[in-house]
Amino acid sequence: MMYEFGWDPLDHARVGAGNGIGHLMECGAQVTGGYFADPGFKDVPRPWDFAFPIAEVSPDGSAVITKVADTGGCVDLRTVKEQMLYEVHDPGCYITPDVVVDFTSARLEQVGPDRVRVSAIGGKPRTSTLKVSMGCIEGFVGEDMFFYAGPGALCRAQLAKQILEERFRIVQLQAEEVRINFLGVNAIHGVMSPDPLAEPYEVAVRVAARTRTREEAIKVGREVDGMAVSGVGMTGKRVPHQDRTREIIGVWSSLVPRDRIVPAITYHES
Amino acid sequence: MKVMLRHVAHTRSGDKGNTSNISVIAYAPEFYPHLKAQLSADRFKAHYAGVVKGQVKRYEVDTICALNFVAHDALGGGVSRSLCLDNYGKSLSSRVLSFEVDVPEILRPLLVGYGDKGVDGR
Repeated sequence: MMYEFGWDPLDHARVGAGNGIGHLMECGAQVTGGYFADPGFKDVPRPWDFAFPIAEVSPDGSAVITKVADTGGCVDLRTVKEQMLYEVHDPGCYITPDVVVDFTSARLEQVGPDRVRVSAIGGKPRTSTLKVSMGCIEGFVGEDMFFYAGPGALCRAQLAKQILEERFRIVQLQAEEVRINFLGVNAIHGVMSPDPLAEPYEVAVRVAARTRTREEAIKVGREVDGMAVSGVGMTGKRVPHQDRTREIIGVWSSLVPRDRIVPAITYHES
Repeated sequence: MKVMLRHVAHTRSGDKGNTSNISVIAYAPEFYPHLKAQLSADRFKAHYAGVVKGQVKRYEVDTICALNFVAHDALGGGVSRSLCLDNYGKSLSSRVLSFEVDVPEILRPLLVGYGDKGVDGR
């Protein structure tokens, strides 16, 4: 946009609008109906055939968000609003390297089928700092799952959890955190999950532990192996299993003064 | 009348480190003042008790009738450290759909997916 329209990189009003449009276009089909459908509430046509979004940008920094004709998905006020706030903290000060975007002034208008006009996204001067994200080697996660079904599935899963907790104590698992949940009951929303109204027909027990060393993380899979032959009756297992440990690259973010960073591009040819 | 928030608003979550942002967007402008009055940052945090462990800040975007909740210490240490299967917290925005909202009876025709109104009440 800066190239096409000849915008000054420090013209924060226009670059703010342009950056806001770029934000609407990110994450694939999220503005054209992806990550959106909720049957009976937000129905999306043909959600197996999404199109990437198109922004028809005008020199003033307004745009029409649309998609290729005869594709699945939809572009409407709801998809644009959801995407506008996606991964945003303060909508009035969305800090990017080039500009601070202000979404609070934006005007949205449905101007046709799958066509939403976006105007008046604002911009403020860029900050004096840039964000740097550092990856640090922080340890390991060991995890696995095993399964129950039919009458009594949840009771067997609960006994299995108790056995695992005792086993981890016996083998002296050194972990920063251990999580044993039941998929279908509380594995996704954790302690927020209400008690099930009826016993689920199937339950997967999912266990994970965060450890300092790979040796400790391996204990998780080793104890789950035992569940097949020494655990609860009618335990289902995945055999063969994949690698059940992974290394954690923890991310630490910080701000550095912009003038300390000198951009350079180096091409490597093989 | 008391209804689940899912009839009044739609939601989306995103992540930054150990922070989750959850937007709550009114289906109709008529619902927005009621959401604004009832879904405070404190009530939001209480609805996510045990998972959102840090501060919750609410931003209001009146032009699009939306509230944006920024929940700190909500992703089990962050995407790469989390032991949760949904380590990005992409499903977290569905939790607030069960928040109970009191709206005037007169707004019943605007409720989405409610009772005999059928699906997607547009």
